[in-house]
Amino acid sequence: MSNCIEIKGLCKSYPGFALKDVDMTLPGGTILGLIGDNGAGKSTTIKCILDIVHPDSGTISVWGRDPHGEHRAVMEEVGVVFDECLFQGEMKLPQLEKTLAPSWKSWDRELFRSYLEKFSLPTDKRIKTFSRGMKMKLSLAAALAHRPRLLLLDEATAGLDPVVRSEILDEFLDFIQDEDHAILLSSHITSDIERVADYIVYLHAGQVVLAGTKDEILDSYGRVGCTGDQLRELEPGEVLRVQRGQFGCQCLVKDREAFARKHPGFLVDKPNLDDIMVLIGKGEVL
Amino acid sequence: MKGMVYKDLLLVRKNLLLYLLMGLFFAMTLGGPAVSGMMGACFIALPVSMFSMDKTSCWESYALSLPGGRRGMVGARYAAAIAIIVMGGIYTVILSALFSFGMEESLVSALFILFILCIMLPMLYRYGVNHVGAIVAAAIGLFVFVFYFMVSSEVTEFLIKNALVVLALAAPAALYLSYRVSCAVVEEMEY
Repeated sequence: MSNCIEIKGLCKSYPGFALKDVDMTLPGGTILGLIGDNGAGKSTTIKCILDIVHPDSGTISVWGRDPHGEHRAVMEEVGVVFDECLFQGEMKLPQLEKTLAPSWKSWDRELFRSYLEKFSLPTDKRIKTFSRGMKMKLSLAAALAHRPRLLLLDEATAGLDPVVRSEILDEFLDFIQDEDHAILLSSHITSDIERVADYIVYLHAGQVVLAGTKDEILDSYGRVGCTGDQLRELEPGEVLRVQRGQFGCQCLVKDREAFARKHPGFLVDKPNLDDIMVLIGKGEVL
Repeated sequence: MKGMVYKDLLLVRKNLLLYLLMGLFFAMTLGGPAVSGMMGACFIALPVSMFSMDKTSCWESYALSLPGGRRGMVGARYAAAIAIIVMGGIYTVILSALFSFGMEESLVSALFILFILCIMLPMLYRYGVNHVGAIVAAAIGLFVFVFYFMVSSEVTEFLIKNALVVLALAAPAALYLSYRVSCAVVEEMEY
């Protein structure tokens, strides 16, 4: 299984924000969920992959190619869905097809039309009249119609109702049946990530604070509830983060089974991604 | 690139039609100079509209993710602008034949506007449509300054007498230079 995306030491600075030493690998045939709070650097990372912004340092390769040096060859195989539909609102779908089709050698007209039919998108109405869900489905249809090997999705399911989200997530799962395909899905809807992702990278304030397979993370990490007195019994290295509240403390531990064996009096349970994000994002180091 | 040229022309077609109708009206009522002025305004206003529409929909971020990339995006804009000038030029020639006013003056105006665009387009990429008024004034001012103050009177006289030939010969070089400058500007930009 070859790697679809390899990012090493990616750095990008803006006034007041910096992406620092981001490392990321997306193997073929998998979905990587890129999670993080607003302003963490998810979109910046994706834009660096697409060569929309220029990294300050670091290397990016897509199927072994440099997106900047071999832009055309790379983008022929990449489909993109942004968080907003960026197509001109005055266009109708046949006009949009005429705009997009010449851009890719592999554009499949019948495939595009089959997606339009599958997603029930009207061909006689202007794009500006579409709902948000319809616009996202249109963006996805356009991204899939040239048969890409890599899908980059930047908050593509944000603001969508559960039914539409489920439809779109099912399309993602169909897409990666082939090991030659991969998806990078950036989202802060962690339930979507838990449903479809194989790997997770958590970006916080421009840095990777958590990376690994989803199953390993969810099967090993633990959320510990304790009092202030109990917290004082713990050694700093045992706990990744602690969030102190009015009625007690919440701690994040890396290996909940080992922690539970060592501290049988503590309440330990399995966190979800939301819990992990909140504890890492808002918690402090012990 | 072909698709993006189609998009640009599609989105300005109503404005283009309006300008063509106004050109016809001016040809019927005011004659050649008014038609030249009208078409000149069209050649400048329509590319500006293209930039404005792209900015409104944030299309440029999407366009950069297409295989054509930055150069493709710039090339398409230049191709659309040239297509409008060619269409306008042909239309002006037809009007001049129908209403018997000087064809050469109209063609010289069209080429003059092409040179203004060659200065304007890189500036639009660099500074955006928010400063379009200043950009148009700067482009026209720069052209007039070079033409009237930097060039000697003998050369100026020669150029005026042979304006059509001189401008037509210089146009490809001006376009190419402008395109290269725009590509260099866009290469550095982030969206």
